[in-house]
Formats: sequence, structure tokens, C-alpha cells
Amino acid sequence: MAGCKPKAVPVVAGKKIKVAIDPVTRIEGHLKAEVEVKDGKVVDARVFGGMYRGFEKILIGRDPRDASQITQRICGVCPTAHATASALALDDAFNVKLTDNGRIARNLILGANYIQSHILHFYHLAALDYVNGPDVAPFIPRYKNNDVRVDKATNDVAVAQYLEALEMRKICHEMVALLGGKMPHVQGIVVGGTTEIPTREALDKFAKRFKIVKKFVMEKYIPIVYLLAGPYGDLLKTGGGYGNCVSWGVFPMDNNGNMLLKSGVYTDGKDGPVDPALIKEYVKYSFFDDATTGLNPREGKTVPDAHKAGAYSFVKSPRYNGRPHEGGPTARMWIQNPELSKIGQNALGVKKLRDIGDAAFSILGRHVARAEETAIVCDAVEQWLAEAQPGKETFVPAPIPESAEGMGMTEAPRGALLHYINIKNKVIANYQITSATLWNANPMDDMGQRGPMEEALIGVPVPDVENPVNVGRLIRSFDP
Amino acid sequence: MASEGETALDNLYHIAEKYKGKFSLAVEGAIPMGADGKYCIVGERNGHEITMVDIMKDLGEKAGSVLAIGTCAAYGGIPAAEGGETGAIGVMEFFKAHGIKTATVNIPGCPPHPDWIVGSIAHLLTKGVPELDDDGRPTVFFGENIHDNCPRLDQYDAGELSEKLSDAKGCRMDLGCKGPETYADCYKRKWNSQMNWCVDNSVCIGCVEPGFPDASSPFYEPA
Ligand code: SF4
Ligand code: SF4
Repeated sequence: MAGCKPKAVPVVAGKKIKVAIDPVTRIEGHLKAEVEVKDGKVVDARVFGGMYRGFEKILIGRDPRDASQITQRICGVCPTAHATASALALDDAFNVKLTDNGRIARNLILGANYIQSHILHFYHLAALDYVNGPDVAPFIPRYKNNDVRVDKATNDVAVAQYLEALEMRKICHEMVALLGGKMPHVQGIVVGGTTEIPTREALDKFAKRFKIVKKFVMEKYIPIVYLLAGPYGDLLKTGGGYGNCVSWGVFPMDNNGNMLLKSGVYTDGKDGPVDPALIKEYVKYSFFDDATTGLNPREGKTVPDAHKAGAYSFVKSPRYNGRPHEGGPTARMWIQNPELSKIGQNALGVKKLRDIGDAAFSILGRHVARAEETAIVCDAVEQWLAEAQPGKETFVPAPIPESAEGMGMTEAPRGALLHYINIKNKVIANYQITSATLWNANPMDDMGQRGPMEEALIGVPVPDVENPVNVGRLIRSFDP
Repeated sequence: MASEGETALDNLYHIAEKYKGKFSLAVEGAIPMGADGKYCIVGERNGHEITMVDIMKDLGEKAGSVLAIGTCAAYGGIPAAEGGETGAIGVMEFFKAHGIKTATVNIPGCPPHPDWIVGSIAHLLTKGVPELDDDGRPTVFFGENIHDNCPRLDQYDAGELSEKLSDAKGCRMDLGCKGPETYADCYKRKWNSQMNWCVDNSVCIGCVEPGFPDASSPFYEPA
């Protein structure tokens, strides 16, 4: 078995060594990472997206209403986010205004999925970078020297929680299904609101389940994330990258555009509002026709060229005002700058998220932001449950417009998500999707700037090239 | 899976060799045949890219049986729909084209119900390949028509039809329900610990059928 033979790579001072990880596992899609290591640190990095399915092309010519069903199938982890973005684009194009109950039902569906997605990410994708599972498949094989630094007692607690977290995710799915029909891929989120008017019984069932999940989040998930900050404290200082971030805002709190997590852009140390016209997608290093580079999603084109010389990824490179920006919980929490949970305040010795400074943009900082966000969403779910009105209309019917365009901007658990639709003759003429992982895991752009994940890899310590543990830790911190 | 990179892929190939003819291969996703398979890179070994096409040839042949999990793996699904340009196909079609004779069980659904997956695996382990219909699906899960068994069939017969998506009562026929063309046990199994199912919430979009999504769309127009 060739790959299990230890490859003796002599570490020579000043010499560059190439390390490839393909596939990067425990993520949502297909990814390869290639880094160059010099004197124990990453000095260059490339992230390859190795899959193209062609959703944008498949949508052309279809009934516009079908978009919120088709696009959910992009991702089984956050279909609700695609449903939301698509429904927002359709609401815009159909010119329909939601009822309060429709808005709240959508929030409850997306909120339950947020909590599920964050628990999934921490326990079932990332945790094995920090603790050891039992010595059976699928927990083995693993890196020989995997830099696990927790004591046995902590490790045992984490493994017990790993299993309990599976149950929590199942309960979150039940919450989604109560209002959304089923999960994954909800039937319930459509243009004009949601399809099922909540009954008292459904809301009670939702609330009963939510209570169990919230207890797990507050008493287990958040504490264990901060527990890791002890033995892995150095990971709060590595993996920063550009420190630029975007959030389109998510969870409308009223019908006037106020969001639970607000929209904003943070570039080179400055805050600003979002202007969708400043989003452009570049493809110089992506397997797409060069003639389609630098386009705003409104003019976006998807023309694959799988054999393009010099290209290395099927991911396009979105840029905001020409600059790379990361998306995700860190971006949202940085832009929101909320007060941290009590546990967080005690562990980090600060009050608000921005008080931790650069540490927010780090391998562990991204886990901290994700955990803190879960607590905020839990509080909001409680509020929406109190606001939801049993028996009140959630759906506003509207005819398909002859021709129209619509923009839907929201936040998936893993980052900024945009859907754009152009309708002609009552069918889809163009559909463009700038998904969360596009913002993070993209290749170099036409201007020669690395993607945010690539840039964040620079400087990450790899003391042992046969066990490049920190490369996987960094990539997973983005939840790609 | 704790491991990543070549260690992970090597382990997969090693297990396939060690249990040749005895293991079951679970396949997710359609197989994109276009662009020499480059639309889906699974990983690399010894410095060479392994595409989905490569790994399906390598492991499909060695497997004792294959579970094609989800409508994409079973029939091509959305990547194979009109407008798709990756040449995506399902496992059985791929095997036919490559002369691979490994027994294949289709577990379609977008997504497939967890009981359908676990139930099929349990059947494989205890009694071998389950009885399959003409589309390669276990009849125990996909043998019954949704409409013929729908709890709303009485309302259909009585002509009580829902007029808008949020109507709690009524048959969903006029809203686009594809129950009459769809064979699955969702009507009794329901979803997510019996919390709900598509027809009570909205409509069935026929997600388990070989023609999904083209044959059942527009989803919100009657067939
Ligand atoms: S709701 Fe659908 S499956 Fe049920 S009776 Fe009506 S058409 Fe048939
Ligand atoms: S009810 Fe129809 S759309 Fe829903 S899961 Fe079953 S077959 Fe698929």
C-alpha cells in the first residue's frame, strides 16, 4: 500500500517542499490543497475545486418557481440557505411582500438549519483535527503524528459529545421538517413565503425540540470550543489571511430590512455598506472561458473550459471592489460585533467580538465566531417562536412575471450567498449563484491576488511535512 | 473519516483489494463522462488525478454489490437534466457502457430517505440483493404509488382540491402534485421521525423517479 509507506522527506533549512492533500476530507465538497513549505511554514498555497455540475445552465428555460427547489440540491448541508436566497430573488422578481408570519416561518426553518450546520461542522467535520476518535474506522487511519494535545478526560468528553451531536442534528432536522416538510431539501420555502401555516401543535413540537438543542449548545458546544483555546491557544494567532470580510445580512427581523445579523463590508481596516454592483467574478485561473471574466452576477456567464491551460479550479473568484474577502461566521460576527457569551467573555477576557482583534481571523477564531453565532441564533429562534402566530397566513400568491429580474442576498451558515434571476417570457433566461464557498475557497484572480483561504494558509506552521495537520485545520476552519 | 489525502484514498483501494468481490460500494453523485471525467476529481494517487470515472471503473468491478444512493447516482438526477453539459449518468448506465456486471441496487430520492438506505444495507447484509423493480429500486420501499395510497385520496375523489400552497386541506393535484406518477412509501413512512412529508407541506415533486427533475417539472403545474 504505497501511500502508507512513510515518505522520508528530509527537512533542509531554506529548502521548499511541496505538500499536496487530495482529497481534503470532512468538508462539504471536493477540494485539493497544495502548499509549499519552507523552514516549517507555508510560503505558498493553492486551493483546487475539483467539481463542476452546471446548475446555472440547467436552470435556464425552466419555470422560475422551480429555482428554489433545484438550487437547494447544490448542498445537502445548507439547502435552506439556497432555498432562502432563491426565494428572495423570486420575491424580488415577482414583486411580492411577505406576511410577518411568512418571514418568521422562513427564519425558523433557516435558523434550525444554522444550528444544525454549526454543530455538524464543529463535531463531525472539524473535531477530529483536535481530538482522537476510538481506534476503529472511520476514525482510523489518521495522521501518525496528528498533534492532538488534549488530555484523556477531555478527549473522552469530546467523543461522547461527538455522538450526542448526531442526535442534536437529527432533532434540528425535525424542527426544519415541522415547518419545511422535510430535511434535507425543504418543500416549504417558496416565492411568496412558506407553504405551511404553523399550527399551535407544530410550534409546540418545534419549541420542545429546540429546548433540548439549545441546552446542548450552551452547556456543551460553546464550552468545549473555549476549552480548546487552552491547549491550542497558538491557533488563535495563525491563519489570518487578508482580514477582509463580507456579509449580506441574514434573518429579517421586520419588513423594513432590519436583520438579526447585519450586512456590511470590511476592507483593509474600514467598515462600509454593501453595494452589489461592486461584486465581480474572475476566472483567469478557473476552468471557465476567459471572455467571461470580471462580470457582475447580473451580467454573469457560465462557460466551462475544463482543459484551459493555467487554470486550476472549477471555483470562480468573486471579488468585492476588486479585493478578496472572506465570508462565514467570522465575517458576520466581525461586522456585527456582538457581546460575547458569558463563557466567551471569561475565556478570552474581553467583552465584544472585535475586542479579540486579529484573533477573530485565525484557525480557532473561526470556531469561536461560529459557536458565538450559534448562541445568537438560539436566542433569536426563541423570539421568533414567541412571535409566530398559529393559523396566520404565511404565503402570498403571485403570478409569474412576463419579464423581470431579481436579486436574493442572504447568508448561508458558511458565508455570503447571492442568487440572481433574470426572467424572460415567463421562464428563466439567466441564473447566477455566488455561493459561500466561492468567496473563501477560490483560486488566484486576474490581478494576481490569492483567494482568501489560500492567503490564510500563508505562514501556517507545518513543522512536519509528513503530517501537515495545520493545513487541514486551516481549511476546515472556513467550513468549505 | 479522520484521514485525508492519499492516506484516505489508499485505504479505500486497499480495502477494495482485500475484500474483492465481497464489499458493497456506496456511490453518491452522478458520474460526469464529459471532458475526460475532469468535472469530478475524487483525489490523487502517486501524483495522478483520479476522476469519478476512474474510481467507478476501478472499484465498481471489484465490488460484490453497489448501492447507488440518491437520484443522481441512480439515474443522473439534476446534473443529467436538460441544460447540463457534464455528460452525467447514473451507475447502472455507466456499468452497462463499460461491461461491468456488478449487482446494483438503486436507492433514489433527492434526498433518499435514511430508512431506504439503512434498510437496503441491512437487506444486503442479511439476505442479499433485495427484490428490485424495473428501475432497479427495492420494491419494499418503492413498490407503491403515492397517489393510490395518499391520505388525501378521499379529498381527490370528492373533488376537494387545494387552491393555494398554504391551504391545509385538499388534494394537491392542481398545485402540481406528482404523486400519481411517483412510486415510494413517503405517504406512510413520512420524513424526519414522522414529523411531516412533502404532500402535507406542499406537493410531491417526484424526486425518486428516473426522469427527475425534467419529467416532473414544472413542479407547481399539474402534469
Ligand atoms: S395530494 Fe397528490 S398524491 Fe395525494 S391524492 Fe392529491 S394528487 Fe394524489
Ligand atoms: S413525497 Fe415525493 S418529492 Fe417527497 S420525498 Fe417522496 S417522492 Fe420525493
